[in-house]
Amino acid sequence: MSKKEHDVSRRQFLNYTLMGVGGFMAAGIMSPLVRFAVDPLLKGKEGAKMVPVMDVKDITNEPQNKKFTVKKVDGWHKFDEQQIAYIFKKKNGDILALSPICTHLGCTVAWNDDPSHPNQFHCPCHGGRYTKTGINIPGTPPPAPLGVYKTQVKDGKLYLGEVISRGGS
Amino acid sequence: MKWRAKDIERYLTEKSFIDTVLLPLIPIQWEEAMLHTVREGEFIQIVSAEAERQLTGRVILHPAFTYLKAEPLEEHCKRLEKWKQQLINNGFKFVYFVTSDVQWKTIEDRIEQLIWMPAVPLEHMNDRHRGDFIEENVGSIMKIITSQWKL
Ligand code: FES
Repeated sequence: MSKKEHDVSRRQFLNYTLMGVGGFMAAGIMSPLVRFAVDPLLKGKEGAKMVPVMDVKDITNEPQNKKFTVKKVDGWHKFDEQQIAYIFKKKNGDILALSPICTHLGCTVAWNDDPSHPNQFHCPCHGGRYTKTGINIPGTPPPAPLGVYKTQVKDGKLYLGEVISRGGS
Repeated sequence: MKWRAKDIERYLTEKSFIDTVLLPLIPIQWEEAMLHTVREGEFIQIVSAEAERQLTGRVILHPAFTYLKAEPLEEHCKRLEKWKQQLINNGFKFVYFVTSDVQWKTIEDRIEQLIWMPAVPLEHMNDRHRGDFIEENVGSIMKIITSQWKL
């Protein structure tokens, strides 16, 4: 009697164990599939993630340099990246948030730091220049306007999202 | 640009625009003052990586020149001279050596274009303070480089 009980429990044990292993195996096979199915959704969410950067009431007509951090993944390397936006109000009152990454080879441009070309964005690397709204000035190396951040206003705060390129010309 | 295939591919097609190298000098030492030596390297790597990020279209961040602190400076110099020659031969106009190791300061006029900045215990600073401090140092590296470009 006691031997039988023992047997059963051993069989049960084996069953559980095998099921367990099978379960893991199934999960192992399934998880990439599930990931493929879900991934685009996750990505969509991540891409749309907006970060609060400043109070709307503090936005002026003069571009202000604002720094903020976003979470990035580069291959297997996860890190916080500092980003910069030049934020100002256009004449018509619209908010514009420009990315300072030069469309030539990627240096960081600065606002109004070149006395010979006032009120322009200026690239320290090869003299690229852009107007206040980020339009590349012909005759300088950049092939396209500066990118613009996706903006959103909520509860008096300006949120920035991904950078949208404005193409080449 | 960084020392990685993606960036170097770009360099190979845009060579005429990329004429500057930033080369960190990083000491190694396991005996006394090890912690200090580690800080020197850490600090220089952080600031040079950030300077590269802002000037990426014209500057290559070169893999670090590492050396044993205990060995004679004369030997490092010889080896470094070869590295530099290689860069000059490949068309680079500006080669900046960045370091926190004070040894190099003693032969400053011999190496030219040495950027020396004292390391600080970054790990003891709060985020805000650390950010400001790094930014300040990155700013001075960038000033040195961009002012040379303008000449
Ligand atoms: S990277 Fe800006 S002009 Fe070349």
